[in-house]
Amino acid sequence: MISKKIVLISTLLLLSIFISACSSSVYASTSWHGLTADANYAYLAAGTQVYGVDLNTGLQKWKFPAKPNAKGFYANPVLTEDGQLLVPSYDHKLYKIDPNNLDPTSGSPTSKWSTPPDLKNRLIASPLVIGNTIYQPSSDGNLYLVNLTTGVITTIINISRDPLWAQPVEGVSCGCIYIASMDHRVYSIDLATNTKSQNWTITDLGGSIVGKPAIGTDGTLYVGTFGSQLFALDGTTGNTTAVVSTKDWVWAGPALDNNTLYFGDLAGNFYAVKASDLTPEWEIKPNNSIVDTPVISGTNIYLTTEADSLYTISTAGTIENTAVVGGIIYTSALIAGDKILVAPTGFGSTLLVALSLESPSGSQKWAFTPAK
Amino acid sequence: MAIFWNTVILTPMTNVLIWIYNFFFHNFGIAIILFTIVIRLITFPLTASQLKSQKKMQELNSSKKWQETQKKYKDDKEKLAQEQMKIYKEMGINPLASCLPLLLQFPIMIGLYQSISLAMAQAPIQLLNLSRAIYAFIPASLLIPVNSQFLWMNLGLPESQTQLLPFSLPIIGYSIPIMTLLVVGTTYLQSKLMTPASANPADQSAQMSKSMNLMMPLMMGFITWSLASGLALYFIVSNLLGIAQYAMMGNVNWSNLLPKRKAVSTK
Repeated sequence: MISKKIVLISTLLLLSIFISACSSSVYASTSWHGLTADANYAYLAAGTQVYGVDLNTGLQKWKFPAKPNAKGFYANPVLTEDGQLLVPSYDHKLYKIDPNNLDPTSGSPTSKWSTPPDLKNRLIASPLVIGNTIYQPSSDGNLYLVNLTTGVITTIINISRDPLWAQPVEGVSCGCIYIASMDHRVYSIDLATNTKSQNWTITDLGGSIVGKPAIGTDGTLYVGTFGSQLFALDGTTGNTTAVVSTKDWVWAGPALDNNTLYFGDLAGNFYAVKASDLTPEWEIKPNNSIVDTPVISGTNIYLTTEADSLYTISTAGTIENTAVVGGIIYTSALIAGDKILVAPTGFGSTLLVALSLESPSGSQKWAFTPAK
Repeated sequence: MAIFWNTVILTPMTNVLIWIYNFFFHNFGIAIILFTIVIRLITFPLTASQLKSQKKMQELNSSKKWQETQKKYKDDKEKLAQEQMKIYKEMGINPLASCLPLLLQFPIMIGLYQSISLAMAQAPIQLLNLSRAIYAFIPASLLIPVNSQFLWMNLGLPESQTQLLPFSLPIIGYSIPIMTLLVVGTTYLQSKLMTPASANPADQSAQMSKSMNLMMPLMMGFITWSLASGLALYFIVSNLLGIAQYAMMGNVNWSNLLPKRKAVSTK
């Protein structure tokens, strides 16, 4: 009888371990929401669909595609000058949709084009648009140059064998763009030849780079790495001009404002350093890991951490306000007029919350849940 | 429970996997193969004990005494159970002894599978989780991202999403799914070789194991087609090692591979 009980208890224990194994975090969501906005609408890439949300009411204007895309959308969508929306997807395609032209039957924006199946891996980074060319990095290590009008891939530049997760940035009067790679390096692409710049020194920076680099007015490039360092690179040569160590991996790119760089690390430390020589100005530790780039407006820095709150921090390094939103917030906050938008994950069916920019901890302006 | 699972099974396994990767040529394919060998060796005592019990049970099932008891008490389930327990005791057999080692192996196999998924970190949240799972003595920042290119495969992508061999032939719009076919083949081979010869091929359990031998490889093939190729590599290596282990213990039924002759009725 006793042995039967032991067997039963052991079996139940093992079964519960199996169940917990299957629900373990390995199989949880693979990324967080992407967000952008124009004067009237917020555009939210949230898993299987992209939503157009009215900034005044928080109501859904449309969703794309009409039927959910199982692979999902996670990168920040990019608005083009003519109001079209570029949406990278985990299904290895880049979509161009017209948010102002809805299909009368499905109510979804009309798709202008999607790229052919040449992109061989997930699109985790947002694209950069210069003129009529889209520069779309892919996890297959290639940078795809796509014609904005037609969606045709015009050039494929092999950057690295490792994934490209960071959005490229345009250089200051160098006729080039910069792309950071998970292979620990930053590359410069000559826009005249669409090849890697000849005079650019490629250096191993000691850790992967997944954050979008910041660019100073003098062309200096600032990148944070998984090697727990932030580098300043000369925009012409790629040589390191300054470096500062952090206490943990730097995930997101820094925000540059008024000759000061603001950025965080995965241990939750938030730093302000002088852009000229990377000397520290101050350091605070709000709460939980920092995986997003802060947003700056006037003398306020808006920061979300891997917790449920939006922090308002003064440029002097004091936490002025903590607004509890809910869920876990990985996505950078976004300022849209008099509102600040926060996109939490794991917050029930709420995908986007609008707070007052003036007083974020006051009552919510609205909370968006997708229409059924 | 998830914290327990991550701390005791998933995190240590992931670290061993990354450590092997760091030590052996920075090639994730080789790391998966070596890791699977290590895990199979560690769990060998469990496999051996499971096989031993299985063999004893088979001997018991074909014994005269057992079959007579089945016949005698076929209409009295309670009495049958009592008599069966008696025989178990007499022969020193624990009927659950072959199940428990199998049950204990499951968490290890699930952990192995999950650690491979976690270490490949193909998306931001997976990478964030990996950064927290790696022990301090492993130089994680230098090793990430792991090199997931092995032979013609990107181990982080499902075969359905990768370009296969440059000379692969397109079939109905797809290339030949080599890893999927290898998983189906080795799973079929393993189940075929390990199925003991049945005393009566027409009985229900023999029929069931026959259909399982067909269904299981197909199911594994479907799983492989949709999951990352790294897991396909693990399935193949694990199947081959399983066959090797069974062969070493003399439990492989090679005759199962040969076509069976149909019995000729002599009237």
